Amino acid sequence: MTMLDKQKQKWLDDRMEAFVDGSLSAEDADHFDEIALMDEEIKRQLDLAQAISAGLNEMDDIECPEFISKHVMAHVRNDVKQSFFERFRLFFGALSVSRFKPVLAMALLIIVVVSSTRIVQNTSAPTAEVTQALDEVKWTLAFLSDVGNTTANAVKESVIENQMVLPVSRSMSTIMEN
Amino acid sequence: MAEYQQRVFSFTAHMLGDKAAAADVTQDVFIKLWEHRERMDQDRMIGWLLRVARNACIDAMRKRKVRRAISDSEDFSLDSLPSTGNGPDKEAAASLFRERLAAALDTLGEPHKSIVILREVQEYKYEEISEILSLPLNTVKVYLHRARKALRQELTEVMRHDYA
Repeated sequence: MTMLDKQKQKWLDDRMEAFVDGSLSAEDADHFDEIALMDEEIKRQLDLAQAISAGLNEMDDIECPEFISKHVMAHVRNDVKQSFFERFRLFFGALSVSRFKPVLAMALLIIVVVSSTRIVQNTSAPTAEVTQALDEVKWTLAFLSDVGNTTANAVKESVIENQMVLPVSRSMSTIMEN
Repeated sequence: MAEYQQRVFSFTAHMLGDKAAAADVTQDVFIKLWEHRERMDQDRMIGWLLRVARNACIDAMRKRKVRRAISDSEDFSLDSLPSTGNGPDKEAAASLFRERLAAALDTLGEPHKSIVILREVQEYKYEEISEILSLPLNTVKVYLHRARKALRQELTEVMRHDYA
């Protein structure tokens, strides 16, 4: 390649892409176009550059297969599941370490104390509904007790006196007389 | 997310020229996205995805080291350019040209190939490409210029070879 050819090629390279891109000024583009019409080699290269640009632009988006998102989602689900069990395992694994045992014992003690306090609080401060229910139970028991007394007295008078106390008294009197 | 997946898959498929390998890479990229979800900036997600996809493609290409041969099918000449001819001949010429162009694209090194795909096929702006590839804007323009020139030279070589 002669010096002239090299210069020509450099000039051509500098302008070719800009011409295809449409980034040459109108004046430069017209000038380049005129030269391309006169020079067979430049015309060939320009046609090729334009065909390359068009060919690349026409390359289609290649459609993504559906299984990719399914595989990714399966991985994500698996990861979430594993990380849950891993955290669970790590937590209880950490608790089983001897230096954590006093902490665990203290936590359990606190839970027991807090629960008991709450139970005591609940007992000492009954709600209105509980008070009402207790009153109802009390009145029911009193009623049953009253009914029980009346029934017991009746039984005592009619059955125990006549059937047990009097025959025993009579027998005792007979024995004493003899 | 489906749109991002489509873009990443299309990019990797063009980079690797192999849909099965592109599917594997895309899957790995989205699993990495899940693993890095807490540090992810939503506005820059597509840039991050394409950057990770590109790196994965480069690794895959290194492992594979197989390129589509540019001179293993039908003869190709300037008369085969899609702008020439009519009817079925034109269709056949266009198809052949696309094939040759894809093969020529495969001969480009990095980052030229990524830049051509991002700019010419996926139509990203120079600024976006600059961010995706972590390259200065002017460098992206220079690389694209060189890549186009290299494509032209590669296809010219093929034409000369076919004429001979």
